[in-house]
Amino acid sequence: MSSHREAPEISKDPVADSTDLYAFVSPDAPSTVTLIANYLPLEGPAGGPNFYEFGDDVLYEILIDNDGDARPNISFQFLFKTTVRNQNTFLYNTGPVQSLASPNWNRVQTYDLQRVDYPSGHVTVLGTDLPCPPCNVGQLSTPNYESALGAPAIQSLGTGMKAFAGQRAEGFYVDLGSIFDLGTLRPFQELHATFGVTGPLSAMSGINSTNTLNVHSLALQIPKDQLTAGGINPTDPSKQSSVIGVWTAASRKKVKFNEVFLGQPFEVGPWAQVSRLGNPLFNEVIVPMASKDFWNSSEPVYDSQFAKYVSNPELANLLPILYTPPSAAAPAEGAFPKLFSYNNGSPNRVDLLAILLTGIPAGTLSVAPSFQNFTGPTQADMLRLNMAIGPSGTPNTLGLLALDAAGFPNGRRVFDDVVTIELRCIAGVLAPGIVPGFPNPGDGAAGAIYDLVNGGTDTTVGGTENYLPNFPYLGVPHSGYNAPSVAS
Amino acid sequence: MTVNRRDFLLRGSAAVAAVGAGTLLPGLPSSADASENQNPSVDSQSGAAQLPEGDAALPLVARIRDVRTGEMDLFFGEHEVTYRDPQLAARLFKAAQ
Repeated sequence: MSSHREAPEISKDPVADSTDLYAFVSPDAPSTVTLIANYLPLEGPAGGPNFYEFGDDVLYEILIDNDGDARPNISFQFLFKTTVRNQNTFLYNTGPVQSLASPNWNRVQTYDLQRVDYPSGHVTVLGTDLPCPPCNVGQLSTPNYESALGAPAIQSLGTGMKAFAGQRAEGFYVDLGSIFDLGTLRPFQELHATFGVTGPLSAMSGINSTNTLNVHSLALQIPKDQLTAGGINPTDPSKQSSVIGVWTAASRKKVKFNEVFLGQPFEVGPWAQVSRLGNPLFNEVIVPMASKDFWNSSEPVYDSQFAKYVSNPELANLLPILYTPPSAAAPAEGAFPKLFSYNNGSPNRVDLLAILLTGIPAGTLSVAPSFQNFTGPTQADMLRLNMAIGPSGTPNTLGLLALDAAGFPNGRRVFDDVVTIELRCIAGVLAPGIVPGFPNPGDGAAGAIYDLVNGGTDTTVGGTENYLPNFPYLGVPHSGYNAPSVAS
Repeated sequence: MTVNRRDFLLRGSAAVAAVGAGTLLPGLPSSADASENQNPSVDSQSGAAQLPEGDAALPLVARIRDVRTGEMDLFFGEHEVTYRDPQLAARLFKAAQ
């Protein structure tokens, strides 16, 4: 998925496993940018009695590069603390939890939030003991969840910022079950080669694997001028100074002993990064499995070592093979014959290198020549947001592919269909005219494939419509009582 | 891969000069147990007497990278330092066997 369980080691450590990262100009507060980093993949809402929470032993960060060198200029750091109020019960709550101060809530989590500026290392404490909401247990335990618990956990900080840390409905959607079954896309599976295991498959609608699941979100809303170099207000979309690079990282202490020392697990040493995330699916489908954990421990500034996986991605080579591959007798047939032909040369996908590793320079896209979110030549996996581009009044989940420049890959909004966008980009929808030697026009299928949602305004698929109009934008978490639905 | 940026995350600035009271090796008992059972003497380089009382109670972990060169990583609080002392490394290695 976007980055859920995307690497062998981090898949065993869910509280430190970043799943999605969002960065967008806030639609209802366009002088601000909203940054959201999600952790704890695939939360089944009924997962008690020890419901989900952030790790007290994890340092969570949202990092900003605002000068194009792929090194952080700003880090927003979250550190959590969990308190068990009643030592004599196994229960998460001993009665209805109707406020964040309820004595019925037995396992309470709070957090400290600070901003660190680099290279000075100057620390600004933004808040201490900020409350997280409990998980959405059910109608008796957490009644009126959002008004009583979710919304009150939104903290207005003195710097014009807002912060929220807690459970949310999963906003990312994907037909995971089909994609990981040898690259099947249900709506197009009649074209799948099937390896001779079955006869031809019949096309069918995609299934959202994350529907009714939850995540834990770290969300910030920040005035734009607090994110730029020199505190400028970014108003000119043509300027590189309007673009920030964003990523999230989670770190653990280097040494941990699985024995109790002074009543706590024993941890010592400096923080060591165990997870990071910039663009969706980068580590998931670009980086080979053998390098995924290493990638998680490394920093964006060193990402040129992974550029070879972007310039000739494995998935781009698989698509023409999986979907009615051209034959020697009919090389122009199949779903992706032009991609197949290009791959058999010396592929160098400069379109993908721009989208994922440098940002898109102005003049690159013939259909939107003025668009840019270029941070400079340093190759780094960062989610790049041109903050001078305002929110769209008619957003399209296909983002820039649908000429909605407020969406992915210009940052990423909570509802953007990043799976389809990246599938189409890897299939070459933007390649003609940008990538030397790429057939022009390219394959028609490159602009048509999708896994789940057909079109940029379709919200009919469950789990693709559950968003809020205001901060923190991700929907009310599904309750354990109701999900999976009693009707299902 | 460098993680130099993490240096900025370190809270507090106390440096740890050498192995001191409460040295732990992976697989050995906790520092309290080691003091009782193995009768260790305080190394002259430890500086343990100069540590504030609260810090002295914190565990320190040494990872010997190469017993021949005496290169070891010392973990204390939120710090990691590299230290070389072949004689100390040899003694710790022997004690751990």
